[in-house]
Parts: sequence; C-alpha cells; structure tokens
Amino acid sequence: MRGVSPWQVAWAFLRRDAAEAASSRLRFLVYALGLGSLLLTFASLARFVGNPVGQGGAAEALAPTGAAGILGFWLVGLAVGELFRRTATGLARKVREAQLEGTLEAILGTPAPAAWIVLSTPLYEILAGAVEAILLVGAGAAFFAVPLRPDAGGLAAATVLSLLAFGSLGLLGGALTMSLRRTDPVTALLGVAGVLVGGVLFPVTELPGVLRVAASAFPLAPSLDAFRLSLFAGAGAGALTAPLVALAAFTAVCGPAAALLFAWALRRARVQGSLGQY
Amino acid sequence: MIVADGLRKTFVPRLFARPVVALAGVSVGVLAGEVVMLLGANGSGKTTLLKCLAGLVVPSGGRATVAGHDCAAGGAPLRRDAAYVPADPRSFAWRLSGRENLLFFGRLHGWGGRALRDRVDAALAAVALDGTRRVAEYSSGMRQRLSLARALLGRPRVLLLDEPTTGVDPRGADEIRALLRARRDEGVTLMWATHSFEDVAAGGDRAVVLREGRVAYDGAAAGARGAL
Repeated sequence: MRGVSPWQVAWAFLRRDAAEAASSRLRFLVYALGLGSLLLTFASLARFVGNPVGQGGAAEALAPTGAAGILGFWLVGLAVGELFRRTATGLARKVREAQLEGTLEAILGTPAPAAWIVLSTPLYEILAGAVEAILLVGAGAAFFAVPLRPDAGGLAAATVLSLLAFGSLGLLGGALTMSLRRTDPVTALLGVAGVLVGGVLFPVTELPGVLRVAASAFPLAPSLDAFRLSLFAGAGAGALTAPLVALAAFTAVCGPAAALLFAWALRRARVQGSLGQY
Repeated sequence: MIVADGLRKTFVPRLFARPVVALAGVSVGVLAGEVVMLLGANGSGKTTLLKCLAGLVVPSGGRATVAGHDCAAGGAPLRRDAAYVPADPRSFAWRLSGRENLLFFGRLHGWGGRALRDRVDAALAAVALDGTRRVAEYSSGMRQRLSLARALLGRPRVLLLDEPTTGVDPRGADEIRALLRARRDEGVTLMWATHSFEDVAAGGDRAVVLREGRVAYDGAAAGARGAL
C-alpha cells in the first residue's frame, strides 16, 4: 500500500490551520488592527527621533538602510523578528498546544509518519509570519514612503538560509518541549535573545562586548543584515557573502544537532508514552 | 488477530522518580472478529495496554502483534489495520466542524479529492452524525461518536476502544453500543476497555480483567464481575 508523503501531511496541516484561522473574523480584525498600530507607533517614533544615520557608532550599521532611515531599519527588524519568532518557537508551541488539546496522540495514530506530522505542525505559523513580514514592509513603503530597492536573488537567498537557520532552532525547541512538556523556557529564551542580541531595534554593534559575541552566534543578526542590504541597497546574493555564510554555518552546526536531538526526543516520548501527556 | 505475550511497561514519570509498573507481563490473545471487554480499576493498565497495541507506546518488554504487525515498531501498516479510540473526547479542533476534522484526519491517511469526501461521508453516516456543526457545539456523546467516525475512516480490522461510553448519557451510550455491535457484525475485532457492566452485557462474550498490570481473569464475560 502507498505510504503517506510529506507533502500530503504538510497540506493537511496547512488546510486545517487555515480553516481554523478563517473561522474567526474578529481575530483577523484584531490582528490587522494590531499590525496597523505597530506600524503607526514606529512611524511616529521614527519622526520623533529623526534619522540617526551619521551619529556615532550607529552610522555604519544604519548606512545600508540609506534613505529608508531608522523606520526602514525598524520595519525590517520587526518583520524578520516576527518570522524568526514564529519559525524558531512555532514547533514548540504547536506541539505543546496539540498536547494540551489532546490532538497529538490522535494525529499520531494515523498512518502518517510521526516525523512528518511533528514537522508539519508549525507550517501555517511560518507562512503567516512570512505574510506578516511582507505586509509590514509593504505597508511601510506604501503609507510612509519607505523606499525599497529589492534584489530578488538576494532576498531569495536571505529567505531560504534564514528559514533553515531559524528552523534549526525550531527543531531544538520542539525537542525540548517534547522532553520537558513545557514551552515557556524555550520561547522566553528565544524571545529575549531576539530582542536583545538579534538586531531588531538597534544595530548589534551598539551592544557591550560579551553580548556582541553572543549576537554573532545568533542567526537573527546576520539574517537582518542580509534582508536590510537586499531590500534597501539592492544587494544581490554575491554581495551578501558575510551574512549568508554566517547563516549557512549556523545551520550546518545547529541543524544536524537539532535533528538528532529531535529524533531522540520523539523516540523517548514514544517509549515514555508522553506525547499525549500534558 | 491480537497477541500480547508477556507484555511489560514501566514508566519513569520524571528523572530520578520511582518507576511505575503499568503492565507486569500481560499475555492475552484475541481471535479475528472477537469482542473482548477489558476491565479493571483505574490504574490497572487498560489504557497502557491499548496504547501499546496501537503502537503509541513502546513496551518495556514482551511482545505484541496486531493483525500480524509488530506493535513495538508502530509503523504505518499497524496504524492502518488498527485504530485507537482515546478516552479523551477533546482530541479535535473545536472551532472546525466535525466534517472538517474528519477531512483533516483523512488527509493524514493519504487520501484526497472524491475518495476522501466519500470516506468521510460514509464514516459520518455510520455514526449518524451531523458533520456540519462545529465540534465545540457537540455534546459529549456526539464527540465520542465523532471519535468513532475518525477510527472508522480507515476501515480498520481492529478497533482499540478506551472507555467509549464514559461521560455519555444513557441514550448516547446505547447508540455507541449499537454502533460497535454493528462493527462486530461486520467482522471487526474489538478490544473494548470499560468500567460499565452495561457495556459488557452489550459487547462481548469474553472479558479480560487487569489488576495491577496483570491479567486477573480471562474468561466468559458473565464471570468478570466476581474477578474485579
């Protein structure tokens, strides 16, 4: 008999989660209002602080945003930061949700391979994060004249390598959630790390020494460098060597380790019978 | 159809905690088309036995097969031939309709298009359930019937049922019993965990009683009450 393919499993989760999201119009409305408020807040803040390019140590870091200024810097930070949050913590949160709802065990009782099931659970989250990122930057360009000079090749390379790097952290988080049956340590740690050493709201060059080292080992900062350069300076993949290599190196180290840990956690959960527990 | 030979399962709830023995060497056999009622006090090992047979929990020792498939391996062929109906009726996306939920589970079987819709409609018809309402609006009995419909989607040869009538009103419980008798008449093998002697009377000729992870009784259903 034919096995269940990963695409069929991924499609099943995307369809279900999209249907669930569409079941509440109020949620969409609140979400759109939240996004609009965020954009307005940062646009107002950017007008208040002015464009700090040329002032002190920020000059070099903000230079790639060019005419987009601090608002462009923030919008890309917030957009990619959200994609990072959803990708790096999505698996952990969705696995935990399914444990609490009692759906995980029922889903694992189907003929679909357990690994495809668990890996497919955050797909809608990641897709929603990508759409939110596009909306945020697009709205910034449309309503606040943030100038964009995107390079398709650079953006594609930044997107693929960022998702792989963030996904490695997601696998790690998923493995920890399955083992600990708790999500909060993982999401809290990544949330704090994202804001502090990710380069979302300010350049990582502004951080004190030790934290700057931590930032260089964290994939969000190089990802943001790549996105900002390709969106505002039209940099192609060839011009993004440093951040792309950093992302690839992170994936090469963290990815296999996370995959091994994830496989171990899945096996351990089956042995312990803890996948359906909460 | 179901063979458990010296099946053992020990859980270690958390690091350095004392191990809990859930199954201490359970041996039981069920013939094709047979209905076996599984009885025992809370914590006697009924759910663990069903989960081991469904391939959801790996046994610590012993061996079990269902429809010829090794339960410890827990692969797709086992999950096609044996469906586990959990005691927890929450196991659905509550904002979606019963039908949408079944479509999701059907896709995880690898079906799509017309074949998927036909299977979902047949499963809903088999449990006499209106699939258009949101699961959140279902009663406990309706959610249990939806659980059964989900199990029937793949037309399994074996149903592993964990207290399917618990929390259901008497009329709903009667409907579930009738449904399960219909499956038995179709030749489906049933292992049915319960605390209800009404289930035992309606269900099987044979009962297995578990006590502290061991088989305390295996015989005619009529004699099970004395073994509890």
